[in-house]
Amino acid sequence: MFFGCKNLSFKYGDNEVLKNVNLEIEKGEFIGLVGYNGSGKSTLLKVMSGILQPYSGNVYFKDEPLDEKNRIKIGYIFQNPENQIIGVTVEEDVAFGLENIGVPREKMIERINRALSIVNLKGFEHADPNNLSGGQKQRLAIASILVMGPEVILMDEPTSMLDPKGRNEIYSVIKNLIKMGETIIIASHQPSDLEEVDRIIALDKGEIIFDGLKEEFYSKNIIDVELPFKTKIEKKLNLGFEKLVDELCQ
Amino acid sequence: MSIKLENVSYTYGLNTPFEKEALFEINLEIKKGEMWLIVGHTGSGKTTLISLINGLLLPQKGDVKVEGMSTKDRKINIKDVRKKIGIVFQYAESQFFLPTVKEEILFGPNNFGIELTGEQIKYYLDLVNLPIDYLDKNPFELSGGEMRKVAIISILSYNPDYIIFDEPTVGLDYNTKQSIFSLIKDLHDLGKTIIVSTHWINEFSNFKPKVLLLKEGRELFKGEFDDFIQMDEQLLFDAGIILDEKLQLYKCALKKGQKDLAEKISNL
Repeated sequence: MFFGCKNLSFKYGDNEVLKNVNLEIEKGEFIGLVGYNGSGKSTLLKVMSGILQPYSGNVYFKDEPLDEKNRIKIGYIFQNPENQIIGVTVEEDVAFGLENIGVPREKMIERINRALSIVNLKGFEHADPNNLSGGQKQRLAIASILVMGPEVILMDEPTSMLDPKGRNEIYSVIKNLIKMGETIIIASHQPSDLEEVDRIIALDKGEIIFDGLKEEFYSKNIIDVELPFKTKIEKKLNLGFEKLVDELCQ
Repeated sequence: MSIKLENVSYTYGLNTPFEKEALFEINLEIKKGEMWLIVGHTGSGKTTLISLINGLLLPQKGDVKVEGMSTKDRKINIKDVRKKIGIVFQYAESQFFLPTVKEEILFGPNNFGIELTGEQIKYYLDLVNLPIDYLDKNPFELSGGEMRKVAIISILSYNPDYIIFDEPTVGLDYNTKQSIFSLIKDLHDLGKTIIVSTHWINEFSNFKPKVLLLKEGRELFKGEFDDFIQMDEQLLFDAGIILDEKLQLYKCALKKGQKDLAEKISNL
């Protein structure tokens, strides 16, 4: 198994927030994780990244249980980028993780440059992170994770605190990551966040209630979610989306 | 009966090296019973405007009048202004500090010397669909959506005439969002004046609100929703407004004169 978990449970005190979760994820998959507020999405991503320890069961990366040694391969992006920005300049912020693991300076510069170019922040090396917009801050947070060379990237509602422009900036970063063949799980309520996703995992009260193709998920009313606009036109107005666009907007 | 902003300007750190102009010569009249969206890019002055309306900030130039009371008039009691205006801040739940839901709800009214009956409290819980036994719960043990609802009741409970929502739907799941929209609709139907500061204009299109668009602290547009979305797209984009698929299609339907279809699209 490239990445996943077996019989995973997690408790906050007596409150069991993840119940016997089993997941298998292949290299290069881009997966959407959906569910109501409080369904366990954030907890699942935190346990799968090694930030939280499972109550029972295990997370696996390349067939090995996740431990102190291999958890560096799993990157976690917080909902609020402010949670993970610490540097005085953009460059220093991205360098922080590398300094911690003792990467030589020349290698460091090379890796920082690469990470900043993937998130379209080249030219911002010496900027003060406090002066960045929300979208830029979230891209910086992503760069700080990418620079560590993760093989799996977990994103917890990465656009929910951003304005429309900021969201679009994150979408172009996600497109870059998909082109690079990265393995990504993104938790979100937004259909626009899930546009490039093929597979959806739905959590309800800590249990997986759906794991399959996005089209099937949207057609089946598994849980109440915001439908993509195109689906709404087709389902609720019984009209063909493309035809309607042609008729109205030509 | 209205809130009036007359030529209002506000600069943070005025007369210091850190001066930052936030609003410049804004004129706005929000009449009782209306619904307004305050929109614009991050840093355009939306939050400053809200803070000026209830007297958290006082205008350095111009005047803010709430039903005739000027917020900078030292002779009025600012509590009389604030009692009329409720602000539900973004992530309002982050302001919780009392051990039970009941105490959170009663804090505002008590401050204004208003006593709520058990019936009134139940009325507000019903309005947001929370069961009565939640009153004894610890607000920090509720889900994100429930917390947002309690935060909203804690504002409604002193019965303000004007209710300001600052990004009320951010981070909420579908069902909670829908209940917030229907609450806003109910409040508006009850005659409350609603002011929403948001980036997500598509979510409010079915209310047909009036719109104030701010760019770098200046008024770029003020008027009806349908006129707003028909503005030049580049101009809107530069002000941080992106019309999504829904509003694009709504706009097309309006232009073709297909009003019924436009209505259906805006309700999706």
